[in-house]
Amino acid sequence: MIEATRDKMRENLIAGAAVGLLALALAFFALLEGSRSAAFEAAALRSSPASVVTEVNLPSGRAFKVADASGSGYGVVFSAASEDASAIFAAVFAPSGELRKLKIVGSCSSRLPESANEALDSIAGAHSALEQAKGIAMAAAEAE
Amino acid sequence: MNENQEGFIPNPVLSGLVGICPLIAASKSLAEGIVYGLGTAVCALVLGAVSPVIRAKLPDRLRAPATLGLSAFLALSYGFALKAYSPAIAAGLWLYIPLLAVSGLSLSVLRRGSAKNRFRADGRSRQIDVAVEALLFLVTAAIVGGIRELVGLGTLCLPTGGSSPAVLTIADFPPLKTLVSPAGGFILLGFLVAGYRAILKASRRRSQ
Amino acid sequence: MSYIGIIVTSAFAANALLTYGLGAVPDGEKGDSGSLVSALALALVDCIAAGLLWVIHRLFLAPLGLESLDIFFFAVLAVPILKFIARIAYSSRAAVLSRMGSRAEDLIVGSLVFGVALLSSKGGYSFPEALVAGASSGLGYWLAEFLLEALRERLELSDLPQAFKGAPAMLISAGLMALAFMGIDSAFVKGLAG
Repeated sequence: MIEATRDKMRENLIAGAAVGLLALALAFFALLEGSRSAAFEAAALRSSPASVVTEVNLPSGRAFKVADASGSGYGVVFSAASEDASAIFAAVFAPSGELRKLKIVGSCSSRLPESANEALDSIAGAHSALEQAKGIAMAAAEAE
Repeated sequence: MNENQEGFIPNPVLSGLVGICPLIAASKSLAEGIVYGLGTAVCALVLGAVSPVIRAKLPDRLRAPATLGLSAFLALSYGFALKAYSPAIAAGLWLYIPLLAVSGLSLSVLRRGSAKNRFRADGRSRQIDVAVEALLFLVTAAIVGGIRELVGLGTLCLPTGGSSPAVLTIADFPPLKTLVSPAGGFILLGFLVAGYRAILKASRRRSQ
Repeated sequence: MSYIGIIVTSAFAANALLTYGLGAVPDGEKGDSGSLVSALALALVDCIAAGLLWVIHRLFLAPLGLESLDIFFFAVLAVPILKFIARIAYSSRAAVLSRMGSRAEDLIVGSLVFGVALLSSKGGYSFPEALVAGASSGLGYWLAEFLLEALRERLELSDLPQAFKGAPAMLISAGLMALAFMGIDSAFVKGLAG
């Protein structure tokens, strides 16, 4: 019986170690992916080569402090998807919460209007995604 | 080929309705259909190859958590690779790539993988069945996505990389926009299943 | 969004079955789907799943910057907890709890529970709001299932072409029902609940 208990403990240890290894591998991939997408988002928010974009880490999401010729603001890259279109937007908010800049970074539809504001209107649920992004930007402004 | 012929493997989606859950909502364009179908196929193939090993090496109570963990690992890895390849397609499939972990095809492969014999009664390996079903799922997902986008929006989005995939505009205006909604997906799948059954019935009658 | 808005959105505008296609199973496998026990089981499982994923997401993954791993930790941590709760319910003496436990065990490893948990955690909700969203999604799914079951009984008595009997007719009916649910969009919810 002692051997049976020892065998069970060994099985549980091996299973735990396997899960731990998988989790570590995933954590490694996630951190790699996180730094790759942070670089992508920072590039999307840059309005000119002179813009300085610094990451602000938040529990609710990723925001960037964007400083360029027109002043500084807080930028968030977010995606919106509906049944007939999906797009990735980059939005910069003033510290007061006012939307300063909005542009389309990428999309999977040719029917999307070229203007970012019209594209936002045409994708269902995009406005609530923008509101969520605004919340993250405001949290970044408060954290600073 | 008809269902009475030896070696016939039925289409998992149109015959067994396996994996239709997110397929209906995920395959709303050609690119998304191909990408989603490919992800499901890859997960099913890997799980089909690994499940006999899991069955042999792990005790009964650890098999289900181990396979679910592995399935989630595969879904996440595919999601990371997709985000790196095409962020726009990944944005369109935001909910459905994580759901590859519990895709119907993977679950049915796992159920069959728990069978004692790796070979069927006719001597063919179950791994070949899994591979053919995975390929059929990919083709079906691509067809469903292609039809929905072409008839629904009049465009074809190709699964190319970069921030925006290449889109071919076929029609000047969307002919039947409802088809890209989930409602249209349900209706189209219903007609495809009926068409598949009618074709099988006709070929059965011809062979008799 | 107010709680009424969350309930209406999760149950109708963002219906798990008819909007996201979650939990669509081939006919003949649903069993006891139209009963109140099934509704309770769906609401509770989805509510607990949404709560567990919210906790995992906000308290463990977000501080480490590992939010993208939510589905893995849900599969490894939350699913065993859900199965444990379902098994306790199943082995209880009360018949209602036992049936709920049995129905819940069938649901846990499936796209419905995983999908509802993901939707609730990515909706930007607080913890109570995520619980309400999860429960409402479960009830919305039950409602769609109940209506489709009633439709199926009528379709079985109808004179349909052979190729359309069974699953094809059900899928087309589900599509037409989804068209009706599409009428409840975010503008309607805002007007109704603010």
